[in-house]
Amino acid sequence: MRFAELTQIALLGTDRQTIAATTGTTSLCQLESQVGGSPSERVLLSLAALHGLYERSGTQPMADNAPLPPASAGERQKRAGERTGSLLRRLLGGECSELIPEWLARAARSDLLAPLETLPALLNLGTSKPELREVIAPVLGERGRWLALQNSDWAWAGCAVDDSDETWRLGEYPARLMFLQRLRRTNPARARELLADVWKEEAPEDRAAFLATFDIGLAADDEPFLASALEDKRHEVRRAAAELLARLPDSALVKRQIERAAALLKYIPGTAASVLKLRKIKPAAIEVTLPGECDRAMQRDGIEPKPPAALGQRVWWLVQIIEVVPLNVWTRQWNSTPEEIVAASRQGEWRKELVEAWMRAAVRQRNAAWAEVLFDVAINEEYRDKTTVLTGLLVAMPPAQREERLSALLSVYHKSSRNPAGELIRLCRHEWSPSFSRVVLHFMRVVSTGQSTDWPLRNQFKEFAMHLAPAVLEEANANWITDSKGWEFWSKGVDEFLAVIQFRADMGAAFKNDSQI
Amino acid sequence: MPWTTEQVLALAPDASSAKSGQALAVPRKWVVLGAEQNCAWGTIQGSGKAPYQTCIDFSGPAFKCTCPSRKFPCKHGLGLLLMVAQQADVMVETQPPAWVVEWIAKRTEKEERKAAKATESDKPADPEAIANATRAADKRLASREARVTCGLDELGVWLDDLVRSGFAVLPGKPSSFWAAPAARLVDAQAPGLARRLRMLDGITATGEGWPERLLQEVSLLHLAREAWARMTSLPEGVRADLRTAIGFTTNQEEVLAQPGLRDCWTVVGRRVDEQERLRTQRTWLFGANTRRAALCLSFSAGPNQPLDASLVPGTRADAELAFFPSSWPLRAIVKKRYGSLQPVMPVLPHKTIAEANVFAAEAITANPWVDRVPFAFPAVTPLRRTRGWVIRDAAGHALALNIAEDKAWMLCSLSGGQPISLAGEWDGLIFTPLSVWVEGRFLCL
Repeated sequence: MRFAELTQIALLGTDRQTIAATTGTTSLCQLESQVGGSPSERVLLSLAALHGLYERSGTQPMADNAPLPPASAGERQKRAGERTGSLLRRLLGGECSELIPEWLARAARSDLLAPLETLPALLNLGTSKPELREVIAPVLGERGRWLALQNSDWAWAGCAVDDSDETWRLGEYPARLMFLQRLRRTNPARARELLADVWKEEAPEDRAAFLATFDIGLAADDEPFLASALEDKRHEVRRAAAELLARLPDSALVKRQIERAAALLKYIPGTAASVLKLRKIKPAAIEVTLPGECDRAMQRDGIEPKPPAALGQRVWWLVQIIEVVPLNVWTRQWNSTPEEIVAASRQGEWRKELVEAWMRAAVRQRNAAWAEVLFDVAINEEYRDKTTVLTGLLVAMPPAQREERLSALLSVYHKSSRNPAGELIRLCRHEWSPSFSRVVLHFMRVVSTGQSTDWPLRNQFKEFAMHLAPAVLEEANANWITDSKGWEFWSKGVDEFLAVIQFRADMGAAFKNDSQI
Repeated sequence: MPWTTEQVLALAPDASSAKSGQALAVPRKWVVLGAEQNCAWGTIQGSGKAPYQTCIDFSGPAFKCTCPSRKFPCKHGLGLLLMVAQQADVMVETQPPAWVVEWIAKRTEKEERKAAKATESDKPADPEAIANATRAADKRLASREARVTCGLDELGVWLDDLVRSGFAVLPGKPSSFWAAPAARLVDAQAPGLARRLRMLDGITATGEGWPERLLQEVSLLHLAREAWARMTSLPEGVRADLRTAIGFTTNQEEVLAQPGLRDCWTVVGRRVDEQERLRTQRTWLFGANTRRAALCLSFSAGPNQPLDASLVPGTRADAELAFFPSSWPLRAIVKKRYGSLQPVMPVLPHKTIAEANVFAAEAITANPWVDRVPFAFPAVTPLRRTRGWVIRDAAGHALALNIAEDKAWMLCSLSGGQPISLAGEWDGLIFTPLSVWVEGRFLCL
């Protein structure tokens, strides 16, 4: 180790150290003896060059005797083809990244796996965006799970798709959560039993998240378990349980809320004008009585005693009760249509709060009839989080009804600069029917000839491209009026729209090609 | 060979060109689009009055566009080639228009003239002119050599001071401590040594073992100074290596004038370094029959100077290479190509890490100043160890990898715990993987 010795001297300086002469007889030592003379720093550097090269050229590889980890198991599914795979690489590289879920869904439908080189990027994506895990997991295959087991960030993907209970018993929290979500989809009762078995031993902070999986496949037979969770020590767990029970229309919790509500709202039918016009027409109205207190039983049923800012506490208690009551209860009880009831609510105090509570009820209960009526109310008035409310109401309607509503909005687009149509279309994440797709296309073509400069709408164009029906993709390319006055402004939006359309068309062709092999 | 999106984007001079190119890969934007076997063309309305005419000769690939952009290839060329790669069916025209035919003809003519000129230079020219030119060149060279001698003397004094006072005083020295002598070497027309010296800045902050690494590098500078003093007694190859290390350039035409080495050269990897806007592209080749390694360099000083794209990693080129003079010839230029590139599953030379070490040892014992050599393993397994990522061979040896975390996981995913084929460059301290072959596929890292 002569080089290390020389380094020591170089470190301290040849002023303070002298170089010991070599005593060996090897050929290296003979070479060394040729490096004679002075001054000593020059000798040191020459010797360093000699020994440095000598040692570098004799570098021995480092031994690695640690056992090799087990190799990944073979795949049972096929991997996506080169063309399909390169589209995913482009998506993950940032091009049209909004289409990643579509690629994943198509691959899952064709029972194909993602290319090997994309697996780490997909695992990272699932880690940062938990909402995508469900669509990512099916394309990972054995290799993806093998990788996930080696990196704790990816633990959520570490469980096998064929649900053996092993993941549940031995896995880490994210993998167990994923397991439970998946099992709720296929066998909700079994998922409930597994959770109930270990409920008491689970960490309180995990219990709320586990309970939230009941959102999937929620049914009446979940009630006893959920009711018992209303007594949990942890607030989040109690809230989650109450929230779920509120969605079971026949649960005891809902029944209790119906009873409470019955005492608070009173429908007063209108009276018609008398023949002699002695009495005026008196429209129907709703009389509201605010709850007097928020007792323990109410809190147990998920009613928060403390109101948010700018809302009185008693009206806050009221709206929390109304939100839970099934909307059909009112129509039945008062023997009136949703339109009549909403109209009647306008006559009383707390009108706005009441309507908002019903909107939330309609979204939660997916009550299409009420959603339609409330949508028409909301579109013309100011509400907090108006877009969220409107989107929720749209989603509560079946797609056909939803598209009908949106088409109507589009037809009056030009009349109001604050028409939320663009934003709402963007948020309707169902795959559009061909006829609605054509309506939107027509709308875009008309708008792009006009001279308005609606920046948000222009930016929304490319998102429209994501929902357009596959059958309409071809048509989307043609018939743009490029010599109109407005084109200079709109062409950017149209180009972005068409780029996404092109990508989707490529994707369709590539997957079709894969399925034919 | 069909083009892939990734290959096309790799031709872009910078990221913004790549993005604009992608935005132009939309058939609707083009007035005319066409392609035949060897070329593609299109016209597109730009901000000018007449539409721009864009054309690509696949054999280079060479680009031509009438737009005023100074980037090369411009966004129109990239957009056109992207469409060829992604949606070849939109290139509807099949008969090249006159301007395309004309350009291709001009290009061919130029190539031929270049070739003719190369052969012409073999012919004896006016002896007196040659003698004059040679005399002038000799004079220039002599004056440069004199400056180098002075520069190396000065470097020697500086090196001696460094070891006399000891490395222990170096940590915390400002950059100027290293930059000043490096600048003097540049003035002395020894840019190669100046570069080496500049690299020493910061070495004291590289953690355990820095004094060894510093002494290693310093001793190589010292070796250059000692060797220069006895230049005339050195063998020809070593002289060439020393001159290269100092920064003398070799005339490419002289290199090309030498007999070439024909082989099926596998392009095993490519890497681009960027320093102060100068991009250096290293392309590594291995000869299938000669089992020789070769390095092709390409330089670019800005976005309008494209790097050479004719050697595509993962393919094999039947070609004659001319090597630069060296005692261990490595750097080369393509003298002649036979046929087109073929994608290939190569036979890689280094069966074990020990074999690769022997290969590197051959290189540095012949040429101590060699910066990097290529390693190419047919079967190694990437593994994560507590100290970082390594590859392991069948003999139970490991080699540390210089690799970003995301790339390492990608490698791991490709391997699945099984051996893969991997090639990259070894700089004497660490191995940087560049390419991987797995299940018949090739990928650049």
